Amino acid sequence: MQKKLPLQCPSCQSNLKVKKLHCSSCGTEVDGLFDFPLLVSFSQEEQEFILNFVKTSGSLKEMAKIMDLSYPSVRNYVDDIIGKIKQLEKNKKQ
Amino acid sequence: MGSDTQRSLFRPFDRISEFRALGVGLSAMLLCGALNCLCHVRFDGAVDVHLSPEPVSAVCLLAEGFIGWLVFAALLFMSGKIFSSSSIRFIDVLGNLALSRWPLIFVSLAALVIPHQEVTRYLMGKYVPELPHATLSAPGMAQFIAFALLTIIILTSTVWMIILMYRGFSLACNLKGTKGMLVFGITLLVAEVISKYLISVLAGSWE
Repeated sequence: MQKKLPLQCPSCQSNLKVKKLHCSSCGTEVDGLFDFPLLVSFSQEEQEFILNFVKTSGSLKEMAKIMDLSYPSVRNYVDDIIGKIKQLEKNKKQ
Repeated sequence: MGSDTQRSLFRPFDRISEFRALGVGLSAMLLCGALNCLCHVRFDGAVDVHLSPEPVSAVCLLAEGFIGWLVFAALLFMSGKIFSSSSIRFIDVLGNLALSRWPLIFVSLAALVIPHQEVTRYLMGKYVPELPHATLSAPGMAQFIAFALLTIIILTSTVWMIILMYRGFSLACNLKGTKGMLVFGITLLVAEVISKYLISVLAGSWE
């Protein structure tokens, strides 16, 4: 079973931060307070889409073929992701 | 109804677009034009369906359908350019709008098998007696029932077509919700007026 990375606090719904990082090879641990990268805020499906989009050099037509969707459906999906990125960046600044 | 069937009937644009949608839509329009020559139905406007008591020329039937489609597509594209923040393309609007007209095939097919001319002439005689071909001789009850059935098919197909048109526009221009509906509704009204005007102006050249 693939574990889902929790992004929000189950108690107060605030955004979580990374406190500890662990090297599984030598056991070194790094303690601090780090923000999650922006990409992590997207769903699994959206992350896969973003990766495939980069792999196809940003071709909407190629993505339409891969996803078996029409060109405007894919373009609207990209527009939704752009909107989400802008919103996340805005939230981060606040 | 399965979700795939539902999607094909009400959301065909998720998978079909551009020249494929245009091809399917144009084929449907040509087929309707050919059938309408036999069944005396006119698609004379952006979303108009009218029964004619007398035969109409094939050129006229095709021209009316194409004017209604092209005017509406051009205006929806302009509205999309003004109100949408997406980079929209004319081929998407044109293709989706052409594909949206395919339910009209059911109108043409129904009018082909359901006789309507006598009831049409009678209704014209009753309400607009000054029109040519109007008559006051009432047809039988069976013909009225058949006419009512045809009316239901026309209304259902027209509503279905308008739903498809809105969804096709919404997807092609990425305009949803209240904003999308308002832009679509107002553009439809303007397209109706302009296409009717163009058809009336050009009528002399093909009749």
